[in-house]
Amino acid sequence: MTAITLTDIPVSEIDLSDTGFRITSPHHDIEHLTASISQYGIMVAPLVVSGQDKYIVVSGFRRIEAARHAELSRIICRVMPAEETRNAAMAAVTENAFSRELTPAELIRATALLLRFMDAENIAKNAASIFNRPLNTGYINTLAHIHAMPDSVLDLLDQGKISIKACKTLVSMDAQTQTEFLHLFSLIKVSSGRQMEIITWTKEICALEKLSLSQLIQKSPLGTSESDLPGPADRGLDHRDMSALGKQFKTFLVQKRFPALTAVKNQVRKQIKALELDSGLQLAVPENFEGLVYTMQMEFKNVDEFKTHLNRLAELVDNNDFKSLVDR
Amino acid sequence: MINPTRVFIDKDLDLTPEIEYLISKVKPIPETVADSKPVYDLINQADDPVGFAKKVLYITSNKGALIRQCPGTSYYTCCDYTILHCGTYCTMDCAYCILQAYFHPPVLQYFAGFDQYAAALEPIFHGDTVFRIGTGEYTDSLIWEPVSLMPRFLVEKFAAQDRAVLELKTKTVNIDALLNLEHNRKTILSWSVNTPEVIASQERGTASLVARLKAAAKAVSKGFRVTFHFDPIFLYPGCENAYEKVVQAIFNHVSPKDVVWISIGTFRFMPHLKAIIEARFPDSTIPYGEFITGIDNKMRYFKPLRIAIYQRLAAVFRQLAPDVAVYFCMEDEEVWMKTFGFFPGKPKALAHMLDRAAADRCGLDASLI
Ligand code: SF4
Repeated sequence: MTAITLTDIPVSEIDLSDTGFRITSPHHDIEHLTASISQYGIMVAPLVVSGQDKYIVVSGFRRIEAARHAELSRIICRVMPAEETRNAAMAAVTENAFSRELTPAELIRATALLLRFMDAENIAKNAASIFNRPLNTGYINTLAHIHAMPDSVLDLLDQGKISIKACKTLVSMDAQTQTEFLHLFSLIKVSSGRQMEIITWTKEICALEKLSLSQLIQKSPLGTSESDLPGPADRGLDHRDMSALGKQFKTFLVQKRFPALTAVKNQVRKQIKALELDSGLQLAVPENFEGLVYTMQMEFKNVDEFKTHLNRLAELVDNNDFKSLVDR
Repeated sequence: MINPTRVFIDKDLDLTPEIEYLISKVKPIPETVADSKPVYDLINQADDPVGFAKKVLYITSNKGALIRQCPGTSYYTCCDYTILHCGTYCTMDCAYCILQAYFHPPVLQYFAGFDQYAAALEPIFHGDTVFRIGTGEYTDSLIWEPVSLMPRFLVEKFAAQDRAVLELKTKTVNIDALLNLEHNRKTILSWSVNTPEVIASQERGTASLVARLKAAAKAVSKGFRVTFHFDPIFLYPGCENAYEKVVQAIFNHVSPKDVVWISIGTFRFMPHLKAIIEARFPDSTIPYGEFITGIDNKMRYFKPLRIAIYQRLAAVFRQLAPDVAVYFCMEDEEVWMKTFGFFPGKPKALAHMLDRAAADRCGLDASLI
């Protein structure tokens, strides 16, 4: 058992810059926490390790930062002896994992932290008591590989702009491509499923056209919007803007990856629109134009509506747009 | 080229001249096994079982059906081909090869037993219908020719009847041992062809186009009939001209009257083959065509793109070989109509068309069609 003492220590003696044990996101809003600490104090004492001349934070980065903002000069901390780094690492993980579910980025940071003290097999064996969930060795290794990617991966995970699944795909790519993909996902906001499509199509277009990802981005709507400004946040782009950019980029990729199919789909959409079908009639073309069977779906409330639809359908027989659509 | 680093043989197999010949042609001393498990285990432990399996020969007997119907689908028109199952897998390495994904794991198996095969063929040779039979569905028919007597045995067997033709389909030029056999036109030597670019980039270890066509010409000079398969056709910039040139090259080497049929089919694949190609052929872009999911759940090029290349090829065939039966492997009514202006829609209609071609060129009993 680790000997932990409750000690009242000066806030100035706590080294917040040493983030060796940190598994939570460094980007967070502490305004409310600061207000709470000003009013009620710190409810749960942060955990620190006594260092040479400073205390190193194990758990409670936000609380300590908020305490600083609240201008507290001393706070009560739980202090672990300096040599207890392995136990400190375990504590950093378990304190968070047993109070709430870890986010993907936290899970990655936590795994990387523990891998400094034990191997993947050992972590897997003790996962339930450390992480409050099972983890297998393969998954732990994957998380470690994601951790080894450029730092921005964790920021993007924290912001929900990239999924673990997408990261797993990027892991097998070279460092340059990883960086370029991470840059891409910093510019847009799309669902996890879309991220996978974007990675797949982008990779394939680049291979087909012998382009680097950054060259492809330059040719895309992102290339023009990117201009020479550093990042979307700096340009004041909010989530909605980034979602719109994500949609535009996806459309650009689909058009490039499936040019003939896209052209036919657009053409057919126009042709169907030109038919001006009544609202109760719906024409569906064969999926991807592979099969031969078209479907006309009719909805009606009474005999009159049914008759109106039938008359409209009868007119279609001589409609040239309809003929060219169906008699392809 | 069959050049295994390990050879396994079933302990129950008798050392017939067929097996002794095979063993004498491969270097490693065969290791006797009670069943296939050690062979499967050996292959499965490799980093790349698909590549590794090309170097492990397993001599065994076929414990399943020796004769099978080609697994077509109901939507796309099938040619009703019959498969003589006398071996599996291949020593060449094509990026698109379905066998990479078909067997788990793939094993280079030689199915020994001339008696067994002779007995299985007997009802066909004395039946009341005609058959087109091939050995090239689960293996390349002629990778075996340099090491095995099987191709020779089959050529001679088929020569003695007029109910069935044997199609030996290959990307090799291994025909020397067959050339002087009495074949009676009942063996068709057949080449899968592609553009030189595709052969160079996607077909490791296969013969060049020119070599294949020279071999075809040599076969024809010995009275053999030949067939060609443009399958898979790949779409890439300039492919139309490139495939047209292949057609022209064929008829620069052989006369249309010696060609029994030609099949054409664009690249299609089971979705999980994509990951295998990406892992084993990282520079290949063939899985990145404009594919959609077909009605048989295989990935296929978007239909108008398929039709466009088919129409170009059909025009050249019409010009250079109007009397040769050209057909699609697995296409639907729309593709047939837009390419050839007809559709063999009735059950067995395509089979009938090919049977006729075989009767005409190879002397099968036409009264049975
Ligand atoms: S020659 Fe045929 S069987 Fe052999 S690897 Fe190529 S596609 Fe597969």
